[in-house]
Amino acid sequence: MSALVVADKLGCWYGQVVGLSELTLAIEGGITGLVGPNGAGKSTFLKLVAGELRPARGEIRVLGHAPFANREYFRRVGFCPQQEAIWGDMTGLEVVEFLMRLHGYAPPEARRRANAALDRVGLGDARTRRTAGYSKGMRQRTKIAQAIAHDPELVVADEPLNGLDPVGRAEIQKLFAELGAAGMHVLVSSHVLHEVEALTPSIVLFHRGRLLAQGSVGEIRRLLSRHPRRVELVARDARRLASALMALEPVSSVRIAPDGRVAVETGDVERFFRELTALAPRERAGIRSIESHDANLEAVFDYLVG
Amino acid sequence: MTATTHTEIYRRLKGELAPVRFPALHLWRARMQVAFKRKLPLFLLFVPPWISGIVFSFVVYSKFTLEQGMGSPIPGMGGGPAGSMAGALAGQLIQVHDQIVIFTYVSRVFALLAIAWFGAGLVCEDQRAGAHLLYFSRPLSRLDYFFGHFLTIASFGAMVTVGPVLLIGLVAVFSSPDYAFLFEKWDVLLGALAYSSLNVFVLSMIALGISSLASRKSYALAGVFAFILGSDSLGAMLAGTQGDRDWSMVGVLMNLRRLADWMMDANQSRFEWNPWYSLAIVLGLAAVGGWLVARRLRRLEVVA
Repeated sequence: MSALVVADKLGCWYGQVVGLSELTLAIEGGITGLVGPNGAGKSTFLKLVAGELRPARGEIRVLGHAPFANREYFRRVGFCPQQEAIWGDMTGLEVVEFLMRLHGYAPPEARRRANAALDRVGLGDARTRRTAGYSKGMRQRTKIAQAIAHDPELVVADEPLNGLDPVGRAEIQKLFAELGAAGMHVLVSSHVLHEVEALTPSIVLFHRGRLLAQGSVGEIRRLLSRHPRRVELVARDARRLASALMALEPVSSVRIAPDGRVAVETGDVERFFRELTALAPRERAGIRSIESHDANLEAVFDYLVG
Repeated sequence: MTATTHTEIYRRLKGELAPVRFPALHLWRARMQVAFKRKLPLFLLFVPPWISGIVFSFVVYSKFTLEQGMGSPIPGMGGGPAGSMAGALAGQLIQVHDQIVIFTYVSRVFALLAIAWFGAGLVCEDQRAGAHLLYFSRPLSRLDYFFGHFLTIASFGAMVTVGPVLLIGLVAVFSSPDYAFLFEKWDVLLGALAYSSLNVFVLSMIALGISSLASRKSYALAGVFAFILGSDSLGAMLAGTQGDRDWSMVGVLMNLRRLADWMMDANQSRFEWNPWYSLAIVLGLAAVGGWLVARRLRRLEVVA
């Protein structure tokens, strides 16, 4: 089966500002997270996927379609933009129902779908209130509801967790996971890296309009073997442990922090942990904790963008 | 990439979606729905023109019913009752004609107020909120978007101009003896409706054009009034200082008034310049408004 999204030398500019430059990538189905700092090109890419923008250069195909101004394609995709986007004078139900009418649903079906989608995002009780009175999180949910109400094959969500409280975030993350499990493809962007990491292991990293890396967090991390990974250990006898660690082959440096923590840098973390397992009972240094902070996406991103 | 599981259960859309017919109408309906939620502007902008329409209708009605047989005989028909009645009817028809012309003068202002209020925010507020992102990820073309907004703004304009004109015209037709107004003055009715429609069209296009230039409704609203009333003030000032009324052609409303006189064959007109110039000016302004909206819609494609 062909990839969900295929981009070939894709370029997009905003006047003199580069949105995306020479982007070539293929994204398979499922849930994929787009991460990168502000201005990295995530939103531009998602708008190109959603058919909002016309590529200035190159080509993009999603679900086999060229997205821009493609009515047939629009039926198969749901877009949740980053912007507010919804009119404050309408109720949540009216917003979603109206947008379903634009998809071609008859009024009763449009209303049924709007109700179902609002229930699904947890806005069932607030559906008849004007969205002007909604919190930011509720408006975000309304946008998600309109993106999923027509049961699309692909949901494109630009920073969907913005403005949600922790409970709301967890609920929406769960919703995306359910959508993915049901066979819906989800492209979701965020600059809060752990949010994406919690949603999916499949990520695409953007930086300055270019593709920085693509794959799972682990895969990307393995690609970065030239960047040492840091592991912190807390031990009863830090000096004894540090001297023992120095003898290990995968260890490139050992440092004892003022608070007594032993910070180790290693180029091969898996081998390091194997050898640490053998070393610990032998040296009797009293290891109390082991933390590998930079295994997360934040650290990977920091490494990549330098 | 991972997520092999998902690709294995790749799901095609199974639902049946009807072709979207006239998507602009859905947009129009939604925008009307939004506008009708705010009752105060509706009351303030709609009640005066409709009260005026009702008053004018009553005047027209009274011309035909209360003043029957009160006219002077028509020359050549003798001084008998038939001549008197024919003369009275002819006078009444002329008076009713004048009433309709006067109402159309007044309705320009009502149209301006309604169109400016309901139309100024349409494009710029969509742009500000990013609502276009929701529209254009659906089977709604840029042209549909334009028509949806144009229909919205034109509907409000029509409600305060075409509607009352129709009311006055109907009252004139049904209260005149043997529907004489319809048979004798059908061109006035047609002219009044055509003029009202042109008035709404031109003001709507100008308002949409200015809305597409502004960043928020208040600016667009000020821009519409500044452009239309400013051009009229400038025209009046130039006409006064140069001692030539043709300078009034600079003003949008003055051109519309010249067209009203021309299209409804007004008995007296303050202006004497060629009405085709006025038609060219207002249609040119409408075209510029349309071009500004089209330009903005193209730019919406590259808004991050």
